[in-house]
Amino acid sequence: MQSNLSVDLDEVAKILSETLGDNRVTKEHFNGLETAEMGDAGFHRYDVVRVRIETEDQVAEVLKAASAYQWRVLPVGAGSQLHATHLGAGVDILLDLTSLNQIIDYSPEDMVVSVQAGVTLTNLQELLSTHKQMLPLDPVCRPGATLGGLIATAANGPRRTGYGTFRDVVAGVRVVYPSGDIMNFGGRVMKNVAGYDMTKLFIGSFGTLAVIVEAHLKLKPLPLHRETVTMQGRREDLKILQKRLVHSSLLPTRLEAVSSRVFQNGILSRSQIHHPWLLAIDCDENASAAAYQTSQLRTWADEMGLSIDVFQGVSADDLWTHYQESLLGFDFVLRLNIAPTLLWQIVTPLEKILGEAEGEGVFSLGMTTGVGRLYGKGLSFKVQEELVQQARGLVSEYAGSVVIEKAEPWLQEKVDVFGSIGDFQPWLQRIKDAIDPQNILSPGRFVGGMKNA
Amino acid sequence: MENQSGTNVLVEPTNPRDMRGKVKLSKAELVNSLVNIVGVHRVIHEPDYLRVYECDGYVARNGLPSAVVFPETTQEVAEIVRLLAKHQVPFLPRGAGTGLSGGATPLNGEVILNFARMNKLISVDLDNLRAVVQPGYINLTLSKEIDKDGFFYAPDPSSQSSSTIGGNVAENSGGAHCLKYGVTTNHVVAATVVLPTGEIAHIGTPFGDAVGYDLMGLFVGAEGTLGIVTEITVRIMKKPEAVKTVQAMYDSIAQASDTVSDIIRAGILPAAIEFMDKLAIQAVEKSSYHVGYPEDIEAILIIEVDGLTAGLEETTDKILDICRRHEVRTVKMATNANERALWWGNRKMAFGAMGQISPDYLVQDGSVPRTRLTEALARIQAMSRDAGLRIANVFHAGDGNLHPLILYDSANPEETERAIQTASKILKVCADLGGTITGEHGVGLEKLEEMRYVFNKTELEAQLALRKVFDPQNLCNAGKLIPLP
Ligand SMILES: Cc1cc2nc3c(=O)[nH]c(=O)nc-3n(C[C@H](O)[C@H](O)[C@H](O)COP(=O)(O)OP(=O)(O)OC[C@H]3O[C@@H](n4cnc5c(N)ncnc54)[C@H](O)[C@@H]3O)c2cc1C
Repeated sequence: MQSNLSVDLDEVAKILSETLGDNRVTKEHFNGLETAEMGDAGFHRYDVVRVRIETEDQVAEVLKAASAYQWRVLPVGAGSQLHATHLGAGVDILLDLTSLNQIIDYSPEDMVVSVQAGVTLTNLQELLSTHKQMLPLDPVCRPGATLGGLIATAANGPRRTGYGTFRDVVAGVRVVYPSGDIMNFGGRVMKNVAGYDMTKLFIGSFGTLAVIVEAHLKLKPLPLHRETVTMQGRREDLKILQKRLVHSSLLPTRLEAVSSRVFQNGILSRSQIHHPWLLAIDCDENASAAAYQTSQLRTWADEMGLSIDVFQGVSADDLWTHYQESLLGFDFVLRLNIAPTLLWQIVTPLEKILGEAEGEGVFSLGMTTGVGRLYGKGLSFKVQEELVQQARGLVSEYAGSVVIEKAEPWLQEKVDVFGSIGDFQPWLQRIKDAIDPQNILSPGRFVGGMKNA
Repeated sequence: MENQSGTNVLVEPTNPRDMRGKVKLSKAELVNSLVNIVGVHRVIHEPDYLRVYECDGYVARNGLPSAVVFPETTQEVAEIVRLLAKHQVPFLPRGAGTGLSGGATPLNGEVILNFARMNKLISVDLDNLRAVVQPGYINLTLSKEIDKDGFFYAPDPSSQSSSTIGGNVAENSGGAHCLKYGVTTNHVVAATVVLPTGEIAHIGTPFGDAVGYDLMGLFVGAEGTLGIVTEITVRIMKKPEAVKTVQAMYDSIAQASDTVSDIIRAGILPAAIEFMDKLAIQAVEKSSYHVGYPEDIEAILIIEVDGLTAGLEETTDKILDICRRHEVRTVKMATNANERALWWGNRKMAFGAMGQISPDYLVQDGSVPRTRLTEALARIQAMSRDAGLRIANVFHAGDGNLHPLILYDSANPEETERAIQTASKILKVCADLGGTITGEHGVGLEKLEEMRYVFNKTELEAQLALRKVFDPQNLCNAGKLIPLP
C-alpha cells in the first residue's frame, strides 16, 4: 500500500512533457483518495503526475511510455467514482480524461450518440433533451461525473427497473489497450454479433483493462409525460404490494422501496410521512396509460389502507432529483444483490444495527431488480464494518452478494470491497494478464484476487 | 469443402511440446471412453448416423464428427470435456442445429456434445422474474410454460419453436420483438459453464451486477468457443396487457423504410417493426402460411405495439398517421388474435417459404443504422441486378437488421459461387454504411473472412488472445467466429 518508490516522478514528468508538452503534465500531491497506511492509524498521501489528455493519441502515448517504463496509470474522469474501490498499490500517473469531452456523433434518428469519455452525464442529458431523447440511466452521482467513469464502474440507479444498465445501453466502445493500441469493439448499430462482445468486458472493469476513450450509447425517447406515485404503508403491506405489482401488467420504469425519510423536507412534509417505508412507482408511458396505472394503484391503496401521493410532470422530476441529491450526501454505500423478495429479510437486521448506532442510514431497494442500497452517514467505522459483515453473512445463504460502493479508504483496507468471489476468479486474473500483462492500469483496483497482481 | 475423413483442417497445429505425456486416442478408444462416461446408448459413432450432424442450418460446408455424445448433467459434460482436453480431441456443443452460420458444423472431426437430453426446465420463480433452464430447452417452450401465469421469455428468434436456449445464448439471438425488449444478452443473467479445460464455473448473477468482469456478457454470443453452457438463468417478463398489430402495404420500398425511421423519430418504441419486400411476399403467399397479400405490393410492414390498453390507441393512431403520410396503399389493424397470428406466422415462415420460389437460398444478416435502410435496400437491389440473382428481403426493420435472401441453384456451381460473392458484397455495403456484418445469426464459419470488414488485425488478435484465456489448447469449436489475422 505504498507509492511506487522505484519510480522517479520528476523523470516521469520530464519524459511525458517531452512527448505531450509542458502544459499537460503537472506533478501534484495526490490526496483525492487517501489510502490507509496501516489500520486506521493515518492516511498516506503521495505525489503523482497528472496528465491532462485532449486526444486519444495522447492516451496511447502515455500508455506506451508507461508500458516501457513500468509506470502505473489510473484513468480518471471527474474522480466522482474513485471511492468505489480502493487503490491497493500506488499509482504514478493520473490520466485525466475530463478534457476528452467531445460529442463525436449524435444521430437522433438512429437514437445513438457517440461520446468521448470525458463528456459529463449532465451535459449529455441536456443535449439529448433538446431532441426529446435521453440516456435512460440515473445513477446517483455528482453532476460532473463523466461517462467514461460511470461506464468503467457500471454505475446504475432506479431506472434499471425499466431500462437496464450500461451493459444494455453501450453498443460499442473505442478503447486504448495498455500496449497503446487503439481498438474498436461493437459499433453504432442496435444489433451486432460480429466477434466477441468485448464491450461488456470494459463496462464495470474499473479501468483495469484498457482506457475507454469513446462510447456509443443507445438512447430512448424522453418520456413526455412523467408520473410517479408514492405509497406508504407497513412493511408487510408493501411486500404484498410488491407481489401484486410483479404479477400485474403495470409498467413501472422505477420501482423502489425507499426509506420515507429520503423524501422528507422538499418532497413530502413531515405530516405527509406516516410510515418509515414507501414505494416509489414510476410510469414513463403516455398520459392515458399513466393515468390508468395510477388509478390501479389507487384502488390497491384503498383496499389495503395505504396512503398515496401522486407526482406528475415537473413535480415527478423534482422527486427524483431530490432522491439523487439527498443520497449523494451519504458517504457510505453498500449494494446488496439478491432476489427481490429476500431484500426485506436482509434489511431488517441491518435496520436493527442502525437503530442502535449513532449516525443515519437509509435504504433504496429495487423491487424487481434485486438491487438494494444502504446509504449511511455519520456511522462509526465499527458500525460500518458490522453492517458489511452482517449483510454478507445474510446473503451468503442465498447466493447473493454485497459490494461496498462508497466508503472511507480505511474500511476498504479492512474489508474486501467485493466480498467473496466465485469459482470464476482465476479467469478474471487471466483476462487481466492477457490484456494488461505488465499490470500498469489501475493496479490493485479490483476484485480480491487481483490486488497483488 | 467436404472433410469426411475427420482430419484437422482448421485447428492450428499444436505445439509438439504440449503433446508430451498426452496419448492420442484411436477412434475405438475414444468411443469406449465416452461410453464409459455416459453409457452405450448415449454415444453415436457409426458414420451413417453421424451424417445427420455434418452441418447446421448453413449447408454450404460440412464435415463428419468423430462421435456425438448426449450428456445429461453438468458433471457429465465436465467429465467428457476433461477427457477430450486430456487427449486433445477437438469438440463442439450443439443445440438444435438451426444455426445459420455453421457454428455447430464439425470441420475438425470434433466430438459433438448434443444437448437434446439436457432439455429440462429446472425452476421458475415468478415473484422474482427468473427461470432456470438446461441448455437444450427449447426457447418457445419456456414462454408456453409460463403463459398461464401471464409471463413470457422475451427473445423470440423466428426459429423459437425449435432452437434451444443454449444455442440462443451462444448466438446472442434476436427476434422480431427485440426492438423493444432487447436480445438474448439482455435477458440472460447467470449460467453454469464447463470451460474447455473441463473446469466448472458459475458466471453472472441471478440478481444485480456480478462481481468482477462481465463474463456472462462475454459468453453470450461467443458461439460456443469459450466453453459450454450447461445451465442458464434468464429473466422472464410479465406479458403486456394489450397488443396491437398494424399491417401497412406500400407501393414503394423507400416509403416503407422511411416510415420506419419516422415512427422511431416520433418517440414511439414499437415492440416490433418487420419488413417484407415483394419477392418475399410472393414466396410466403405460395406457402401454407399465405395471408392473401396482393401480388403487386412492393413492401409490407408489420408494426406491433404493446403495453397498457389505456395508452395504446393513442400510439396506434400516431402510427397510422405516419404510415399515411408515406403514401401507404392500405393500412389496417389486426381485428383479432387469429388475424395477428396469421400475419406473424406468415412473417416467421418467410425463410422456409423461399423453397417455393427457388431451389436454394443464402440468408445474410447485416445490420445498418436505421437511417441508412433505404440506401442499403437500394444498393442490394442494384447488386441483385448486377449478379443476375433474385434477392428477397424480409427483416427486422426497427433495429436495422437486414436479412437479404439470395436465391440460387446449388446444382449450378458457378451460380453458387456468384451467390456467395454477392452475399459478401452485401456485407461490405452494410459495414461501409456504418453497420456490421451480422446482427443475430453469428459469424460461425460463414462470415470469417467478412470479419475483416469490421475489425483490423490488432482487434482480431485481441479477441484471439481472449479466447486463449479460456481455451489454451484451441479445442472448443476451433476455427469459428474469429479468423486468424
Ligand atoms: C428458419 C430459421 C429462422 C431463424 N430466425 C432467427 C431469428 O429470427 N433470430 C436469430 O437470432 N436467429 C435466427 N435463426 C438462427 C438460429 O435459429 C439461432 O442462431 C439459434 O439460436 C440457434 O440455436 P440452436 O439450438 O439451433 O443452436 P445450434 O445451431 O445447434 O448451435 C448454434 C451455436 O451455438 C453453440 N452452442 C449450442 N449449444 C451450446 C451450449 N450449450 N453452450 C455453448 N454453445 C452452444 C454451437 O456450438 C453453435 O456455435 C433462425 C434459423 C432458422 C433455421
